[in-house]
Amino acid sequence: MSDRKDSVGHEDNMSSTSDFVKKLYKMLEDQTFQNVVSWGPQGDCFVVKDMNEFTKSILPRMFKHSNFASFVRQLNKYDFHKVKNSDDNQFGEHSWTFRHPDFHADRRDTLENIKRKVPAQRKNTSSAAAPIPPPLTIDSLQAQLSSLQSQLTSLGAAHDDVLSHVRNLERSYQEVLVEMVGFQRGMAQQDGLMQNLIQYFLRENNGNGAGKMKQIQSNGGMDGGNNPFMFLQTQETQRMLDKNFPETDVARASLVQMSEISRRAEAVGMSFGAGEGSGGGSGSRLGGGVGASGIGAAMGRVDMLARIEELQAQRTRNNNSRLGTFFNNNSNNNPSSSGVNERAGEEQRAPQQRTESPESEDYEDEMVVPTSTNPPTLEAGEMTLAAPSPDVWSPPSGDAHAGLEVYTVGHLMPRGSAGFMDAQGNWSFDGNSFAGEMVGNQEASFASTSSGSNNSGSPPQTQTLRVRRSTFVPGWAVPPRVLLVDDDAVSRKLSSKFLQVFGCTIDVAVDGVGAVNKMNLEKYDLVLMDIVMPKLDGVSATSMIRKFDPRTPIISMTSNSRPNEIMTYYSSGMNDILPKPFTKEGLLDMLEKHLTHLTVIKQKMSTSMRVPRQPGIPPLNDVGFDSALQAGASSASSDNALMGYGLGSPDAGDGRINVLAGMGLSDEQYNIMLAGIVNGDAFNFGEKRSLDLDEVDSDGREGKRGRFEVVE
Amino acid sequence: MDIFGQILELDEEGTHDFSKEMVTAYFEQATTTFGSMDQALADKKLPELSALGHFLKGSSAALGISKVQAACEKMQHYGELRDEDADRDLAAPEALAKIDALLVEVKAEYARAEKWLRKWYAAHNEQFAEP
Repeated sequence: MSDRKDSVGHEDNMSSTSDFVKKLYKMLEDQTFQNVVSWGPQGDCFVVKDMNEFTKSILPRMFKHSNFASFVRQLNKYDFHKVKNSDDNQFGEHSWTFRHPDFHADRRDTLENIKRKVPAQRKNTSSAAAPIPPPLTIDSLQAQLSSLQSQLTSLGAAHDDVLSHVRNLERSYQEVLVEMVGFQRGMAQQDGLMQNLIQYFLRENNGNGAGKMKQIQSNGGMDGGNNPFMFLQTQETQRMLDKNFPETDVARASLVQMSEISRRAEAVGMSFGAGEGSGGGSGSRLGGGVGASGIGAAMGRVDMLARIEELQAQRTRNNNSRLGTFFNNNSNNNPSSSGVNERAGEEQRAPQQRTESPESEDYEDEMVVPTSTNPPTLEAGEMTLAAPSPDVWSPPSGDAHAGLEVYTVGHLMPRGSAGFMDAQGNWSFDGNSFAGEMVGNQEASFASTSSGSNNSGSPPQTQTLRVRRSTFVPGWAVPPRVLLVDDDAVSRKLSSKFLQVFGCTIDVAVDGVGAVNKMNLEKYDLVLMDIVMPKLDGVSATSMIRKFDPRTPIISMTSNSRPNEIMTYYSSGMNDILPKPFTKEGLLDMLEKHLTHLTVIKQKMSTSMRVPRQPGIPPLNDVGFDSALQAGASSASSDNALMGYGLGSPDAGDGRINVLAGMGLSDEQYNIMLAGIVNGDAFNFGEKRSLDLDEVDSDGREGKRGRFEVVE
Repeated sequence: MDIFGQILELDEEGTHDFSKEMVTAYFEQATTTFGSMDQALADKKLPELSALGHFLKGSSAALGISKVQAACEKMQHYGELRDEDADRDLAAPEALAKIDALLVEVKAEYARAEKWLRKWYAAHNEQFAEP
């Protein structure tokens, strides 16, 4: 018991000593365990002499367990170390000796230094676990929060990016749409161009190009006066033509064709007379005035060659027909008619538009077939005279009339069609050097043609001509699709009839709503819009149409044409005003003005397709041809002359060219003829014409109105 | 009747089908319009009277029936409370009174024109199907 008290007293002294160390010390002081466990010899360590006995008897008593390994582990925790008992193994091989620097048998005070080792890991863990977990959660929350926030902002930024991207895409999409519309338009234009080209080729093949060109030229002056609007469009057309129709190709083709043709001609035994040469020369002179370029020359050549070929083919037939159906008369049974026309046109042109533009109606109405009694040379003159106006050209025409037989074809035909077509054609080529060149060369070819006919000297015979009824129709490449919007059945019938006469296809709407719907569904070339209509008036309808169709010409037909009303019409998107009641001519002017593109094409087509092939043109020999070409080329740069020509400027009078030289007329004769023409009452030639373009125009229209007369 | 002459020119040779068709349409339209005018006058609908006047003015002008056309133009203006001849504005009752008188005149002019046209076609061996 005393020991116990001591131990208790010791314990009190060793209050700061850990329980394990106290128990250990107490165990070593207990003498009853000496045989099992005891201090080492120096008292600086203790020895477990019998591990088995220690485990069985002492561990359970002192440490409440019987696991020696655990006891060792605990010793190790308190930084006791097992001492190797290699040196003096006085306690046996199975004894365990443990030592701690502060664990001595007689040094009880140092016992409190023996502390349980703080395992670094565990300590860290505990320290980290305790204070850090709470901070960790907050931090992580904060971190998460901030990361979420940053994610949010980055997402927002990404969203903005996407949005702007989408906006960009939308913008591009709209641009693409616009471009697609542009492409569609371009395609439409290309279609038109292709038509032009096809027609051109057809014409080339048919060899009628010359005639067409000539027609164009002859009436070009008048058109120029009439329609300043057409100018631009035609120029554009011309540009397109130029672009897509490389000169080189034309030239090449023409050269090949020409040589081929001349070879054939020679084989057939065609004579290349001097007269032909002169004809070529005259032509070239004309061409010079107009302005000829390589292309034009080439084309003229082609045409000439084609003509020669035709001549060969139809030579047998050409005697009969002296008068051709001009323009759209369609009488293909008159092989020579085109030639005549050309001649007539040429002569008129020769004065360089001094003559008023020949009224197409005159052409149509006054088709005259020269009788056999007429000398061939006069024939050409007569024809020319007849075309512009029989009265003016009374001397020759009188003769011609005697031998003429003319009858009307039952259906409506463009009385002025030739004029219109020519006008259109002219316009397309006017002001364009290219056109000028072509014209010039065409002239050359014509001159040669006329001369050829002369040479052939085929006796003219009385011939039956078909002349269409006197109405005039512009030549359309395709029938213009016109939407007629009018609530008045009477006006609608009248307008429809006009449009029908003008060769348009007509669709009808009876009010503004119908008009908008139709415009939505169909494509039209032109809209004729009444203003006062039930449901939706014309102005509102136009405004609506303009939202989706900015281009189709819309022309208001109205009886209300006060200035402020007209302003309203234009501001709604209408292109023009056609005051009611309008005349056939007024409507036609509108169509011509706004559908020029269609007319130009038609010009080409009609000339190439409809003008009958002409016989009676002897081939030029190479000398004559070349001289003609050279003459044309030399004048290629004469832009002024070209312009003057197109506009019917008076300067033509200065340089009179005897285009009839090819026909055997001397210059003197030619001048006499010209004088006669100029003095004629009915025509304004030269300077006068240039001054009176409008007047001329109206005159022409008046003439068209006249009824056709049958002359026998 | 210059305009009518031009319409006749549009006829195919030897027929008057087209012009007759137009005239027939005019007769029908005028008859209908007069009925509408009577009704609008009874209802005192001046804007409608103006529109009807404008309408008949247009079709009359298309055929060149100028007296009907002129009278209809007056009605158009009266319907807008406007007397162009006197160059002054009208009060509604006054305008209605004027239209009342004018309508009689228009009908009379129209009757004359119709009679003339029928006679013309009869003289050219064309008969109208009676409406």
